[in-house]
Amino acid sequence: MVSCKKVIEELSNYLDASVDAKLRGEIEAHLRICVRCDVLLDSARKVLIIVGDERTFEVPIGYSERLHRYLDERMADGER
Amino acid sequence: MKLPALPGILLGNNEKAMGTNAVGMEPGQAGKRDERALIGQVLSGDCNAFHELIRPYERHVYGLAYSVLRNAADAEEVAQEATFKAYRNLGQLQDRNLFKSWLMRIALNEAQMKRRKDRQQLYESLDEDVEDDSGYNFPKSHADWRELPSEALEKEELREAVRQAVANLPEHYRVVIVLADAEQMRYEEIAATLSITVASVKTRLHRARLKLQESLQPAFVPRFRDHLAGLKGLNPWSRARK
Repeated sequence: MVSCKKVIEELSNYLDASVDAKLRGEIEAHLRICVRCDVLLDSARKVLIIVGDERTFEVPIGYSERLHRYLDERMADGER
Repeated sequence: MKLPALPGILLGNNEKAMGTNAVGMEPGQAGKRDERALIGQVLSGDCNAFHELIRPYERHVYGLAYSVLRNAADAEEVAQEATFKAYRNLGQLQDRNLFKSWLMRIALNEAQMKRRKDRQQLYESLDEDVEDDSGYNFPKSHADWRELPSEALEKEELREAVRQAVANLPEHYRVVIVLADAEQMRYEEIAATLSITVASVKTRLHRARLKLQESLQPAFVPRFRDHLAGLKGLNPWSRARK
């Protein structure tokens, strides 16, 4: 069984699914008996879902159009 | 309800390391040969080819600028200037396979110059040594979102709390978490953009994620305690326990 220390050290790797099957099994066994680590991991997973939601860090409306228009204008000025 | 895909949770590490997505290809990788050809076209005087060249990366450029400046108008201004600077200096790109990280480094430099010029965060630096302390730091307190129903993750109020928490992270953590978890860039690309090792990217990301948990606790508790009390026992995210 892994310790809380090991679970915290591997939190990111676990969320990234980059721990091997043996370690994953050990972490999950730990989570079944450690409320503190279970809370942290489950909450971290939900926070990352929100961070990854494109509405959380969305680009301003019209950003792409303004960017390409800006490029066109500067290119038209002959700047190179 | 549709929730966004989160690499690493929905994708395995190997897939993330390879930069694949749901259709098996990373946008920039999808047309790598075309990208090299596009660069050639731009250098031959075809301005329109540059529009096509940067289209897959324009969101990343903005995201990077925003993560440094934390202001939408400034980030857009920097994104425009950085992208044009890439056009103007395209001839200096030595390896056409590295256009994306080259463009991102230009954007990072522009954003940091803008920040310095505007005298923001005088004492913050991406170059600050953040890899020295040991790895084990259980957050003193952290958000408890176990009972949060999946519908709540759709709430703008929660997104705003997360935005604020990310904005309050130190810059070296903020930039990495935005590039990795919001922009979903590959660790290798982030490392190339920031001129650090992949191991450092992973270390910063790990600490950023832990700090985010810590900082979200006070924002979360008063806003959602009542909401959660009414939903106790209805949490679809809870893992089944035997």
